Amino acid sequence: MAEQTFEQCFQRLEQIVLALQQGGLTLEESLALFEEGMGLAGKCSGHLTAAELKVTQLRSAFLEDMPSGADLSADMLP
Amino acid sequence: MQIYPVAQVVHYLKGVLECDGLLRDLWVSGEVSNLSRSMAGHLYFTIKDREGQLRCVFFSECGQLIWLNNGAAVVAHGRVSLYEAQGNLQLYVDVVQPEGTGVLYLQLEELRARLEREGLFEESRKRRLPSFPCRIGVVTSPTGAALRDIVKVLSKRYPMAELIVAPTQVQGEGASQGIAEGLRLLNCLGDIDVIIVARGGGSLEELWAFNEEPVVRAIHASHVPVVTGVGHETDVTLADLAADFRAPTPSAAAMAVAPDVVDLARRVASLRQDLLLRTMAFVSRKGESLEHVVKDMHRSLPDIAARRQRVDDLSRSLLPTFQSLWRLKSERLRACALQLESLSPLQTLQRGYAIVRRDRDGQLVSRVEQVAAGEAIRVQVSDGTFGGRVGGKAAGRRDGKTVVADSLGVQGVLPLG
Repeated sequence: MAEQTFEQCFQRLEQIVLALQQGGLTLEESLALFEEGMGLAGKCSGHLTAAELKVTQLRSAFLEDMPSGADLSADMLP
Repeated sequence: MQIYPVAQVVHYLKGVLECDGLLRDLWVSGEVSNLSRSMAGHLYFTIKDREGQLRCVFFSECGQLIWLNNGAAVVAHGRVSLYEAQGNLQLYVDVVQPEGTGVLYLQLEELRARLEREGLFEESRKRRLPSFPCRIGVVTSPTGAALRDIVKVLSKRYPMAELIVAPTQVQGEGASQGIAEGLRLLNCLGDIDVIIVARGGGSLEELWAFNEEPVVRAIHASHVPVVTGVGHETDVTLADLAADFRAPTPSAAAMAVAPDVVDLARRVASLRQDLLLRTMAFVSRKGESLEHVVKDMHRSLPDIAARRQRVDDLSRSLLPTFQSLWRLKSERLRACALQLESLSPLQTLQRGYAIVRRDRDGQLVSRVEQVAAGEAIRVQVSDGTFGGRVGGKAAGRRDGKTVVADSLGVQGVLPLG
């Protein structure tokens, strides 16, 4: 399975907290959700802290002969 | 000679006017007079100069062209046609600007009016931006300040994203085609969540590409939501009007497409906290109800300790009870045995009586007639038995005296058995 995106993790986490708020769960269900939720919170935090902005540049035929269509200079990158 | 009904004539005239290319796209300059506003907000006026005048109508939404006054020198754009009901020839105006406005601006206003009529700026078609974009397209100059600002803002604010830059020139000849091509390319990639179209500040002429039709149409055609950040706060281009969201600057556009990780981290932390507290509360609630259940269970159970004690008590008293009972029973047994003994015929034998039985069938002999002379008998005394034979035989007497058989010949002594 592909790694979950931040959005997927975050939305699932919100769902879990909502489910716990609404109640009506068995102890087993509640503990399973808790465990999943803590895992997701960890993943979300991981996404938030470990990330570094990636910048890629497209090339297009339209720009090939344009001198200004040069690659990003290194000093522009974070 | 042919005579035409007037309706047919005005209809014909209208057709002639509307076929004329020049009259369909006409710029007129002159002075405003006879200005009136209808209840619906439409404007009726005349543009005139010393040698002529032309009736004009401007269908507008309320509040437009408030600056327009009688005597104002204006340039107006529109198409000439005929209002058949009154036979009036008039200019259906879509742009009115003060006299002296630059040609560029007049063209811009004309294009704005046209694209607006086409519905390219409709509020209703504006889309929501994604909450957590993964891939953000950027159409801008690869060397401009705009890209630098966007990279800076997103590095700090939302570094989880990937920026896909479609580089293009953003001013000068070919810029509008370049921007439109960038939008098309990013749309072709298929996995872009949102596109920023950006350019740093500049003069009206430098920002002009963002007012050109190819750019506006490319933004309108984009399947991916588009955020514009062109120039400074005060510059509003047609690209801005067509975009799903207009940010005042490139930095603001970068902020508009993504949330701040600091806020997100705070939200994640608060969700995590919530999760923890709720689960703990839930578990302790469950624990409490478990305790209740256990207590209830205890209450509903019989008092085991008391019963155990009772069993102990009972078993402690059982042995002595049994022993005394046994003693009682055995004493009574002994008493019975003694009584039984006293009643036994063997006691009588001790006193010298004997029991006589016929040998042939063991029957007790209690009367004389039971035996014949010479018959074998057995005699039991207190310590054994011996055999014998009946000798002479006497008849029984009525006086009750015992008749004892005489002439007993003792033949042997048998042990009592």
